[in-house]
Amino acid sequence: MKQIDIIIADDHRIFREGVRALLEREAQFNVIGEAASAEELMAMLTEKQPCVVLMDIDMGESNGIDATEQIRKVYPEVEVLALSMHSESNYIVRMLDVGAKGYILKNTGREEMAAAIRTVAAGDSYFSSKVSTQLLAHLNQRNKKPKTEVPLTPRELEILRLIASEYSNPEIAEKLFISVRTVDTHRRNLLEKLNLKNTAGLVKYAIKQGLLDDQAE
Amino acid sequence: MSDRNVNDPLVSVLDAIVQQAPYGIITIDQQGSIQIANQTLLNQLAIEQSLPEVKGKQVLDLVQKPVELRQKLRSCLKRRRFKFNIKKQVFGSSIYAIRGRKVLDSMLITIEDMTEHHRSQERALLALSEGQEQERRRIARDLHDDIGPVLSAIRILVEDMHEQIGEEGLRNLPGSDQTLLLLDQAASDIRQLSHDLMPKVLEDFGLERALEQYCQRLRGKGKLDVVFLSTISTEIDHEVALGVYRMAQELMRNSFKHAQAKTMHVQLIGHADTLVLQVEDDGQGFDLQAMREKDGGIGLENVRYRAASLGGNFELDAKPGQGVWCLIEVPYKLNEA
Repeated sequence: MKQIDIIIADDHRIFREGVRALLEREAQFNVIGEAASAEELMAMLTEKQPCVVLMDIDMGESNGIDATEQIRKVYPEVEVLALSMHSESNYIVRMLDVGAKGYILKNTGREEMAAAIRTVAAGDSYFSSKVSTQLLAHLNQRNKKPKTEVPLTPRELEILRLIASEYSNPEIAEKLFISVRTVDTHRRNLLEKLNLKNTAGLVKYAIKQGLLDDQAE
Repeated sequence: MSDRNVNDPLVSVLDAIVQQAPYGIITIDQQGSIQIANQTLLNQLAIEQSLPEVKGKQVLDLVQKPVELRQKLRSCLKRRRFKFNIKKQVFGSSIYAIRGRKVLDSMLITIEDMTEHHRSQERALLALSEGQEQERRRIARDLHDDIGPVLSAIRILVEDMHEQIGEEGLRNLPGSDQTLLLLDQAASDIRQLSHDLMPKVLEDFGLERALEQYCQRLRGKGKLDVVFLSTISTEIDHEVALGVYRMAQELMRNSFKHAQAKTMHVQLIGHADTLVLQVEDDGQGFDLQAMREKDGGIGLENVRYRAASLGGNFELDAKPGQGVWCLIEVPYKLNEA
């Protein structure tokens, strides 16, 4: 079993010590250093490079994302395993973008942390299940985004229909029991969303979408 | 200035009073012809003609803008009801309060400059918001730095202890199966709390991403579909971004909790100088009055104040059975007043 050298980068001493104690249980793991900031980490790396860096994303003044980017450039043999309290997809995607191979959450258990370190040390990817779920949900939404059609909300469709039926702003306001200013805002929003220049454009769009088809008026 | 006896000294005094009044004054007869006016009003409405030129002319010929005032004047003259009140008329870089009322057989219109009043209100609200945000930031940091890591460390220790005790031993310890679960729950709650107090996502990734993330979180709760759309391409002042995020949170939380909706539409639309946040759901709407009575409607009032403090406005339409629609419009940059 190959020994895996590890550096823990996290700005909370209590946490660092806890993780160290945990990892030192495993004969395979050898913690060669602890860093409380990106600067400390980079300084440490000039002396000795580990197999894996356990990287906290939010280290107060320091930024784990930038540090990861730097490490992957300067020391490509050093793998980075992100360890964070943040489970939002924005952070996950960013870390992966800059070259982290794995992402686990801080409330993970010893077994999972060990498995993650081993996997990442071998150059493979590892995500805890919650992280995977977040990523999938994120990708799902990205794919769902309609590239051609801009979705209009029910209210916007209603207003567009009225505009195309030649109601004036005050008339629309009266009909829907809203203020004239609101109608005006809707109109501007529609123009902006649909990338049109004026009312004529709105009417054309409405007709094309078949919004006036069932009008009896 | 009037058809009466110009030699009467009282007339001159009255005339001087009108001319020197610290607000705009104009009276028109019931056909819309201008009788009395002062220079202040001409300046306020950017009317180029001089006082003598204006007298006797049709008010609608001379007052083209602001549009809302013109509409009110036209409506009053048409319906012969000579009373109106525009609480906040934005015109150019000023804000006016315009009132029209019947005086004898004429209509008297006064225009009061409220710009400084609104600006200082905005400043006060902004200062209040900033104070709140600083507090929140501090508390969030403390939660994140002091309690968060301790919980994580405890978790590690407890898991360790469990391994030492072994399965046999654990079976004899009542509640031992709960410990890890409770710790995870506490950690999750603290994270949530900390995030709500200071959304780091906003600082790190900007308003669009932060909102998108929040939508995703609501989707994750499983009860409703949240559609998010953004067309913003301009940079936003940080205070504005934070303010809009907070307002969005409040509005979306409201919808989520009360509306029993199936779909929520959240939009960020970028216009030339302002951005619009629109939140719409297809739920059962709510009775504003009833809501105010229940929890003081504090949340929505906060949104209104917040929007005002950023120099913007807030509209809400929430009739029972017809879902909720609300809109906030604010300038990208804070007023440097």
